[in-house]
Parts: sequence; structure tokens; C-alpha cells
Amino acid sequence: MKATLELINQMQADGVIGKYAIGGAVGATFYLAPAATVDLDLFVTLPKASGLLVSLSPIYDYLKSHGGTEQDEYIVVKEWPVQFLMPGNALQEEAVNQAVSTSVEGVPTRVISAEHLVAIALETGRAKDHTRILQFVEQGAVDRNKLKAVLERHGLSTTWNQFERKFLQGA
Amino acid sequence: MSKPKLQARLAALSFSEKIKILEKLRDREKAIAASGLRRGSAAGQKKASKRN
Repeated sequence: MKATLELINQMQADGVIGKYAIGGAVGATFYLAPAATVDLDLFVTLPKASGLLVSLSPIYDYLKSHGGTEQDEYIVVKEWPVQFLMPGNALQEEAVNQAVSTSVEGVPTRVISAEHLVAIALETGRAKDHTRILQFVEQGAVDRNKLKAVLERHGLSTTWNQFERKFLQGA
Repeated sequence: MSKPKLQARLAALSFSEKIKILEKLRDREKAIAASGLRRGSAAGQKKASKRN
């Protein structure tokens, strides 16, 4: 992971991407006990001068020229399959902008906040997303007040209330 | 050690330490997938091994 993040940081310094933040299971691991995953989900923004046409091609081209190999929806970077995701809505944009700075073995990086990870999982809504939300709640890894604010800003309060009624009665 | 206590202990590790655990778990998943111990097609194995 250290080598993967070093190359991602170099790609950022070279102007191929703007901001980035780790999401998915690796992002959740920042807050929770580690859970098995085989890939790294990275939310990325492109530099402002990228124009109207949005494409991941520059990222893939850069990484391939630095030893990356394409594999299905991933590009394998220094042993880690990485999936690049561009923010698709205001919630995901905010998640990238408000990500938490940290480091892995001395390599600086950014991780999506616990509250945004939960909101994105709620929005995505698959069974495994619901499981992850429950882990955040049960392990006390989410600030309920901050979460409430994120959910309200992005129109997810009703969905959360339904989730709470279904899975968190008495929690 | 109870499961909640173990989880709390693991959650309290540094991100770097947790990433090392993730890498061990990932390598184990790969080894299991490569050994053919899982039933089903290769595509099914890939889906089953993808926890995220």
C-alpha cells in the first residue's frame, strides 16, 4: 500500500489528478477493525483545466506508464487493484473535500470521514453497505451529530430513519 | 478475548498497522482463490473474494 500511495501522490504532484480520498473497505479500516478486501477505492477529482469531457484515461495512461496493469474495472498499482471513482454527486464531492489527512508508513494520504463513508454507504444501499454502517455504529466510530448534519445536507434523512427503524431499534 | 474487545483492540491500531493486516488478509484471499479451494467459477470466486 505504501508504494501504491507513493505513486498516487506522485500522479497528483504531476497534475494528473486533483484531490483524492480513500473510500470503501480500506477507508472504513481507518476507523474500524480491519476487514478483508482485495481492492482500494479512490475517489478522485480531476484538475480544473480538464474541460467538459471527463475521462479516467489520463489516470490509466499515467499509471500504465509507471508499471500499472489493467484488470477488469481496476488498475493494479504496486500489487493493489485500485478502482478510481469520480464524485457523482454533491455528497461524494463533499466527502473528497472534507477528507481526513493521515499517513501510511509515513506516506501522506487522505481518507473519507466516517460520517461521509456512512452516508455514501447508506446512499449506495447494498447489503454489504448496510453491514458496514452497522459496524460503524456498533463500534462507536461515527459522530451521530455530524452524521445527522451530513444526511440532512444531502437529503438522506428519510433513508436514515428507515435504516434506523429496520436495523438499529434500541441501539 | 470477546469479539467486541478484539474489535476494539484492532480498531485502535494505527492505520499503518491496520493496512499491514489488510495486506495479509488480501494475500490469504489470493492464495485461497488460487488454490481452487472455493467452489464455483473463476468469476464467482472473484466476486466472493471481493469484500468491498
